[in-house]
Amino acid sequence: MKGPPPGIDHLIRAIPRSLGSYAPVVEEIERALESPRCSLPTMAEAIEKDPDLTATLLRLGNSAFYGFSMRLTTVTEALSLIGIQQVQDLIQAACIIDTFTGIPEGFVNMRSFWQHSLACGVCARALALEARVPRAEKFFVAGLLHDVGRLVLYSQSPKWAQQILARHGQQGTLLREAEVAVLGYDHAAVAEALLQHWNYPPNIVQAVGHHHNPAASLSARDEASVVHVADHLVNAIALGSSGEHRVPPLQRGAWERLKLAPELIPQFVASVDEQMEVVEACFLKSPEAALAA
Amino acid sequence: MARLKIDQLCEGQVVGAEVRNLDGMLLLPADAWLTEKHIGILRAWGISEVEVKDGKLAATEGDPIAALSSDEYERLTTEVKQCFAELDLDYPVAKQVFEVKLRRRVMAWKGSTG
Repeated sequence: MKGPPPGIDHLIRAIPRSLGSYAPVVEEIERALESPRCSLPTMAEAIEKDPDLTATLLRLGNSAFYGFSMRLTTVTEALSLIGIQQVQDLIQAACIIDTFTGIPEGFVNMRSFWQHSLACGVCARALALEARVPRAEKFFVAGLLHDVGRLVLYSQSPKWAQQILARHGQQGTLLREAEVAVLGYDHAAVAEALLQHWNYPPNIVQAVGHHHNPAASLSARDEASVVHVADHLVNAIALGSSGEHRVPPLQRGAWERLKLAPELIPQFVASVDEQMEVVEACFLKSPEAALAA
Repeated sequence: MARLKIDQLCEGQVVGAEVRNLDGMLLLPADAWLTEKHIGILRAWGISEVEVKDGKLAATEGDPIAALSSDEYERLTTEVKQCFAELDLDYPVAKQVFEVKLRRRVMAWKGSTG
């Protein structure tokens, strides 16, 4: 390959923070939040203008993902139980899945990629809730975005990506090791820069940026450990794939920071399986239309 | 070693760590072979979980791994081990993850062979 590999800044500059088909409802919610008369019913009204989003929200709210004892029938109920911030996070998750389209199938199967990412989000959230890490709900988004750097590489630098994948296939190294060998940095560093560029909260940026090496995180070691362990578990049970052929190693220090009993692992896996059915149905609705090349 | 609920225990399993009641009285020593009588005693003392050694885990009724021939078991465990970039089965977390993956692999294989 001629010339030096592209810099991370160069790669992320071209990625828009697209709202896709959710743009009208997101703008409506933002307007409602800015209004001095903002209330749950006005927020609910904004969301109800999008019937698809309304159905998704109620379906998630009534699923094992939240496990509420009461049945939610209105968006106002969903907002009061789930919380406005979390509802915004869920909408944001749906927008991000819409952002990356047109990536050649030869690089990664997009449905499998998002399946892996959603499973990592579900697992990270479940681990954080059990380990009582503050703001555990945020881990759904952190897990969802942990490998998004790969999509940036595939969409912005396909020639270098080909070289990485060839090395991964021929030499049997981990995909991440092939990225470092070819580019000098890995997908986690790309995702870290992208999320910083998109003004994500610093702990999410750190959790994603250090998900392969949580011990190196200075300010969010617990958060990075949660995503690291979730990624390991989800790779092990092969719920989707971001292209990695083998299960990346687990850092013992990361597991130990969570202070969880190893015997809980089968329970986490069962809980991820149970939640994934509805999460996939909600976020990967039309793979042919939205995700195909 | 695995921690099993009282309802999952069965005769012939080997106790992995001594079992004591809330007052610290020894009910069963490590390495004891479980009998129905033992299980009844543990239940009477309100013990909810017991550490059991892995050799006899497969004895659990209906366990798909237990029904494998030794050749099938060998082939599938080798295959599953190769999926991991690093694997230290002496580390309890790695062992749990490996067993979860093996169980899923066995179920998938059973599904494909009918």
